[in-house]
Amino acid sequence: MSDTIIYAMYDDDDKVVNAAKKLVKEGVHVNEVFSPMPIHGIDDVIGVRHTRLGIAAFLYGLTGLMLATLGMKYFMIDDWPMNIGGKPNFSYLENLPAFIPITFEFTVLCAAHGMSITYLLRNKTLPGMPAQNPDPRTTDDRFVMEIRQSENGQFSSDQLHAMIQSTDIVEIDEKQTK
Amino acid sequence: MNFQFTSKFKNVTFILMGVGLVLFILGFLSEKSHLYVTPHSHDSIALLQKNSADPESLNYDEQLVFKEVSDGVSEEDADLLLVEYYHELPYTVEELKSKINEAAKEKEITVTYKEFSSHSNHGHADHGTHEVDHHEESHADEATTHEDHATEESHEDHSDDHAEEEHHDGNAEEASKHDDHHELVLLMYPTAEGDNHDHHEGNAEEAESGHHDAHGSSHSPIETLTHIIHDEGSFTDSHHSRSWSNLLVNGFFFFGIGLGALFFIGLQYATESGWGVVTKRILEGITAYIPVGAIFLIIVFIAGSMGWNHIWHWMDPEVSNPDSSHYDAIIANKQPFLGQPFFWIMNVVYFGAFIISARIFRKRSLQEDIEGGTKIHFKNYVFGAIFLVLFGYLSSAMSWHWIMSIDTHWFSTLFGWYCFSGIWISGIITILLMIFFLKGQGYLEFVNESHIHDLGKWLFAVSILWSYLFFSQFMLIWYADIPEEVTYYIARFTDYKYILWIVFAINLLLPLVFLMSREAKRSRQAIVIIGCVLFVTHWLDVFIMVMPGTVFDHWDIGVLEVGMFLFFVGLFIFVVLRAFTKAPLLVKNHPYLDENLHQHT
Repeated sequence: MSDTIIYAMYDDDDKVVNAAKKLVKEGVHVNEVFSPMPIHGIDDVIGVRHTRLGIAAFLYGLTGLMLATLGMKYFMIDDWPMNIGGKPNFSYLENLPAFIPITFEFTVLCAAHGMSITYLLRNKTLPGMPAQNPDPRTTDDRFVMEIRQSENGQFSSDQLHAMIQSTDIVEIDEKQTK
Repeated sequence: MNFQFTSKFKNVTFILMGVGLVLFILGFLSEKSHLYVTPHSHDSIALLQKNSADPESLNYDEQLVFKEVSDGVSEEDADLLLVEYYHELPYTVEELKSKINEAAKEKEITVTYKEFSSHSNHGHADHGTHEVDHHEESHADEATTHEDHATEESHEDHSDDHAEEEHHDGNAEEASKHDDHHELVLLMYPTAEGDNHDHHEGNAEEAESGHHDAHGSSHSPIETLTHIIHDEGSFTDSHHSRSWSNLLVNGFFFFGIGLGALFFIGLQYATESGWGVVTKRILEGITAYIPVGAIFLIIVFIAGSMGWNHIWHWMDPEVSNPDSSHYDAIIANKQPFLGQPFFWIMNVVYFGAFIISARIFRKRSLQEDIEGGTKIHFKNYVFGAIFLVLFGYLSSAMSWHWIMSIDTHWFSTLFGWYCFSGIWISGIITILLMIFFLKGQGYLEFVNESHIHDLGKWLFAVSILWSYLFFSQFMLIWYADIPEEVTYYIARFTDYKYILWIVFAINLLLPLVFLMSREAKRSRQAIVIIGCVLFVTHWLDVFIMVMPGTVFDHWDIGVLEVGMFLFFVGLFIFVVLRAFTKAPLLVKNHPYLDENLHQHT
């Protein structure tokens, strides 16, 4: 699908936020903002849907909790009960306090790893993956706003350019995709 | 803009304090003695037991006794019970009665007698004594790390006697109704002389010798038992244990809230935080309670030192006196720390450090409003860091001195942190509730959802920190199962049933489940409801830290407790709201103010 992508570059995070606010007010849909650091409030401005990473983390944690419980139930109670410190492991419930630290640790382990990997996958930033940002300078001191022609069908290319030019940009670039 | 403390809110706080005070006084007046004990002869003991008008509030053993007794006496008549054990009657019954009458007259107690003849076969009375015996023994057990087998043995033989003997309550006098609010029912269970007597003598000798081994003094087992029960298991009206303990619970809990806010200020200065600048005045307002709260704690400590209350039994100089019958080697060894001189020196340090720090923070904050610049900011940064170090040591030592030493023989290295996390979370809850109150009154329009969200995250995180420390302390003690450590939890599980776990479950699960989502951390409703519940459960947490060591199983949450809690809530709100009127609710000239006003998370 062919599309025209406009990249507008700014040199300050306040400028990019103000520009985004202005464009959004005029009805432009801003697809993405690339920035070297997190800009508080930008996601609300350009209408990025709130992340569901938290829900994923909860599910990973729940998985870890269940795996730890099942595992320890099998290892310590069913398969090879041991008498540790005068506390014979014949019942999981009665020895529950002893299993809590491992349950906790494994829950955290699964949640943290699952969350990191999901995050990297979703952002396509696993080690070795090609960079997604349009300009290497966005990892340094430049801020780039990405606007797609296809998502802004109500405006012509010239109108979009004019609107972007009216903001505090330092550079504007255009790219065609096939 | 300053907070305007309108007369409407003033009245609300005064009404709270007034209602609390009235309820407390009601509770105080209806407070009964729980257990008096007096030795009668070398092997008989008189045990005066609490007999509340409400049998439901008694524990199982007490209920059994109560039922047996109330067979012959109507329930309303029996305010106090005297349970008497004796084998050889030292006086004639009439002599005994007149002695008791004399004593009772002094205490303005009316005495009713209920006698059991010695040749009876009524199982009930028998059962009754047996139960009392048990109850008493459990007290002795609980009371002691003094290894006193002697008393136990002598008791076993009591119950043996009773089990073998058959009684019936012959000429039980019906108790007549009296207008006095104290009434005494005297139960007498004579055992038959003869075979049993010899048996008993043998045991008594054994007991006697065992006792000598243990203590090397000439006290009879009964006297020793009396001391033990009296010192550790019994409460008399003159000591008002329940009231004093409640004063400590509330004094510490509300003082802790002020301390939590103070710590939070110090933490934010030391980390040069920008996220909480707009709420700084709220924290400062809450720390205004610290000097007021200190007064109540000091009252309890002075009373403890003077022997007016028995909350800390290491305060009794006799326990470290090797010649005394109260001598306790374990406590004596802790004397350098748990001794009056060091305790008071440290109290000066604790209160001094906290009150002076709070004043310095407040003074500088007001100064910054006028002067501006970054000079004060960096001064605060340095002082905040110093304060945190100081607070780390002092808050731990403080919780050992004030709370942990109630169970003097017990210790836990995690206790300081556990106490501190409770202090911190109570502080955060109060900060949030105060912010919502002020917002509801139309103040703090500059505090936005993001600021609430940040504090909500703290509430969530510190709740989990508290649960983590609570559980760590419990699990290590549970796993190691060392007798001197497990006593703490045994007392809490047997006498306080599920309170400990309910407190733990609510304090962990409520924030964990309901504050996990971003929306809940920003929602006024969610935070106010959860905050109020957590406020009460953290109060209960302090309650359960203190009570099992001071009133043992005779705890209650009645008008006394509720009244005192309400009084303190009213006082706290009054002091804090008054502090809000004294300075604008938004700081000026803080270097991070502008950033924080545009906070977005």
